[in-house]
Amino acid sequence: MPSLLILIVDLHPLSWSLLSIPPSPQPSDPTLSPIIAKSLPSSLTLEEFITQLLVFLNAHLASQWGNRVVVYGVSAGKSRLLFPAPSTTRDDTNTPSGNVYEPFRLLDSGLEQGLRGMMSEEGVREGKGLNEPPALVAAMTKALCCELTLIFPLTSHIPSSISPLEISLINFPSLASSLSLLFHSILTKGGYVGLMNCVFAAQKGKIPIDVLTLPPSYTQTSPPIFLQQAAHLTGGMYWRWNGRGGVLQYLHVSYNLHHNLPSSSSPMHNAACSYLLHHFPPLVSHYISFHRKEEWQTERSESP
Amino acid sequence: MVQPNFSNPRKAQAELSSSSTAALDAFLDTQHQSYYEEIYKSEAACLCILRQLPEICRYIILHFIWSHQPVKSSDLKALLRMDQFSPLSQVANDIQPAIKRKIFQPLELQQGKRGHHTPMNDVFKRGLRNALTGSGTSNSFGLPYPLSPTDEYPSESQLIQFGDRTWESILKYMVSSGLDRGFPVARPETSVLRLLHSSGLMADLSESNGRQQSLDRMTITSQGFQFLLEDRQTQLWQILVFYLTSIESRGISSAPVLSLFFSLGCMQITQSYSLSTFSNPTQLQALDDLQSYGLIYRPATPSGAKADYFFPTHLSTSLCSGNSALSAALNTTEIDTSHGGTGTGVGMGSGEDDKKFLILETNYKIYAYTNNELEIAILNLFMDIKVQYRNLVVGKLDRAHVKAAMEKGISAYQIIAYLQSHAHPQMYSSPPPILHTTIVDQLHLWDKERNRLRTEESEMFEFFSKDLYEDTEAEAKRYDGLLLAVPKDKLLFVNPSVKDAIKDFVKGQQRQLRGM
Repeated sequence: MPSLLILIVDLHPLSWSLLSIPPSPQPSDPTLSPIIAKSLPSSLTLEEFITQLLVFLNAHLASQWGNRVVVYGVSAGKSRLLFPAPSTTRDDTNTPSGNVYEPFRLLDSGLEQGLRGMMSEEGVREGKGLNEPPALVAAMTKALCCELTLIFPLTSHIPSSISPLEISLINFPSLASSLSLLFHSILTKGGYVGLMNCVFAAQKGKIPIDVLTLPPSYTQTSPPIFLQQAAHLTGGMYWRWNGRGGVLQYLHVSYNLHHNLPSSSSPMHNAACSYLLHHFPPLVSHYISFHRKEEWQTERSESP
Repeated sequence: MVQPNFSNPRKAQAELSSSSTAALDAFLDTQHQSYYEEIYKSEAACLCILRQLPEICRYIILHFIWSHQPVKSSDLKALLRMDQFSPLSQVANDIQPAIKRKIFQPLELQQGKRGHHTPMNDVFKRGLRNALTGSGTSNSFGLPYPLSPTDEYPSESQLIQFGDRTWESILKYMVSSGLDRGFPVARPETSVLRLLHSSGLMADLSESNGRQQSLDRMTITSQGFQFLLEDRQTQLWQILVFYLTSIESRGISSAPVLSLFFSLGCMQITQSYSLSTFSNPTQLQALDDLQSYGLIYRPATPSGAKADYFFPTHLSTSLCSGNSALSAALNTTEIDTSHGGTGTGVGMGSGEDDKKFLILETNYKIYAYTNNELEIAILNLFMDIKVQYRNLVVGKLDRAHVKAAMEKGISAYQIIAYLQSHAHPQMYSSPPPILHTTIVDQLHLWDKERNRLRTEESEMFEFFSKDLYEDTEAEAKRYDGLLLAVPKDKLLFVNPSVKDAIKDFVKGQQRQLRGM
């Protein structure tokens, strides 16, 4: 059964600047297992993250014919559809290559284009409104609407023997410490109500919301409790990156685990996940050498 | 009596969809490690093989693809949310399809440790990683060929038309050979006929000794009739696998050609591809042959020679697209966000829509909105066509025609699957099942009628004494050779193999009776 993956990526400049600061040496934590302790905490830059994200999205497309991906980006005070681009603004300048599967190439170049657009908007802003929180509620609302438009025309065409597509909505908010305060300010502006409305809509539509929070605990940020709640209510997964590489593996675990396998109670779920992640060696991320890596770097230097 | 399994549309649907690559699966199951090592050099092949595995295997593979250590059974159990003390066979069972494709090796004991592990095939691992990151070098997804303005540039609909027409002309040739009054058809290329012959889909029945087989006098076999009723993708894979076996029978490895098929399956329609990627002579030969099946289109240069680029048609780009009906349904929904970024098999859209033309009523009447000669000929195999208009054929499923089709080797399941896959969208508006239960059951009953009479060779014994008859009946039962007993006429029918024993027994009994 093909599935649709809707992804909301937090691109808030403040959170990424926080993540890309190399962590100060930490005193060794005796509670960690020796395998994990072996890999040191490292910073994560946006381009590193995006390359891993692209590989994960490709794997999602690869795992089944008919799988789809929709990506939204959120930044301070706004949200934007990154992929697929609206047909009017689509310009496919990259030529097909013999070594890249065409749907992967369309995804990669489309997402790249969307990110570029968003980054250039950030450049124009010149730091204005940078203290606003990421417009998560707006993005979630759009994502849920997108899901509705995608699902309903489909089910009317597909013979009744096929059940509706399985939909998932994944969040990757990377809320930094300064933002967690702003997160409270959402509350006063009614953002909490908006978020909860989205969560209930997702719950009713049986759409699991998976959350992967990127800032690891050493950044001294508090976890986004409302998103934990969102994941819990919708039967999704909540994960916090441990800051030691292996983001791709986190993505694989958090998404696939409850989509492809018969669902089970969440405690088991989390037990299985933590077992896997704790026994998994850090990824060979150097293997992922995208040919566009240099371009990402130039792009990042443009962004504030 | 209604048997519930007859009228279970889900089951029939599952049979239908699972079987489209059945021929390929059977072929791959017989191959050795070295064959897989060869095809896994192609990233496209890795991707296609991955997608044909069951969901659980795909998930395991994608999960462990970035790990550089062998996969441990304890990790697998955790991943599949099994108890750590559950038996190993359970895990082994789940990864069995991947073991069959030589992606994993059977689980073995870890040296110096407790627990089992299995390494992932290195060639496959590299291939799939390269496919996901786009960092391969083999151009297995097809090297795009830059067209100059003078080059021929067919549109998507032209390519679909070319593919359909070429493929259907082969099927028409097959159908026509089985009709008393065939319709005019073009003779397919000799290489096609040779393959149809070697695959057993057509045979020259006039020459029974098989030496002087003439390709022009061939008629369709019962296997061929069954082939006609399959859906398009199943037919394609059957033919392609016949093609692979015919290469193997010449003592050449078919692995490069299979990689080529997978590459074609990953290509995009309307894109031109260069021939230079396919350097192997068997691959070039195969590309030549594939044109005569309509899988690729290769324009001719002005000088008359074949161009050194080609266009895949929808037949080849849909080869690996899983359930074609489903991907067609996905494609027909044109929504703003749908375009561009997905893995659906592109290009099945219009062709598949044309295939949904059939309305079957509960009174066995069929309305088929088609003017396609091939479809009408296929319908004619099992239905009584009453009226034929320009775009509509009206007829009835009746016993005589269905039985005639069954005599040709077509089974009730195939007819049902055909009716189901060609059902008009209107048929979906009524509650499922799509085909009415009575019709499905009736087809099965007709099928069963064929097996109502069974002929068996037997020996008959006729008795005058009731005692002797009963004793002999018991004796024959003891030998397990009694076929039929008719107490009224004191007749016994026994298996010829026990004839002598029964005879001796009867003689002995008679002697005893006389002696008394």
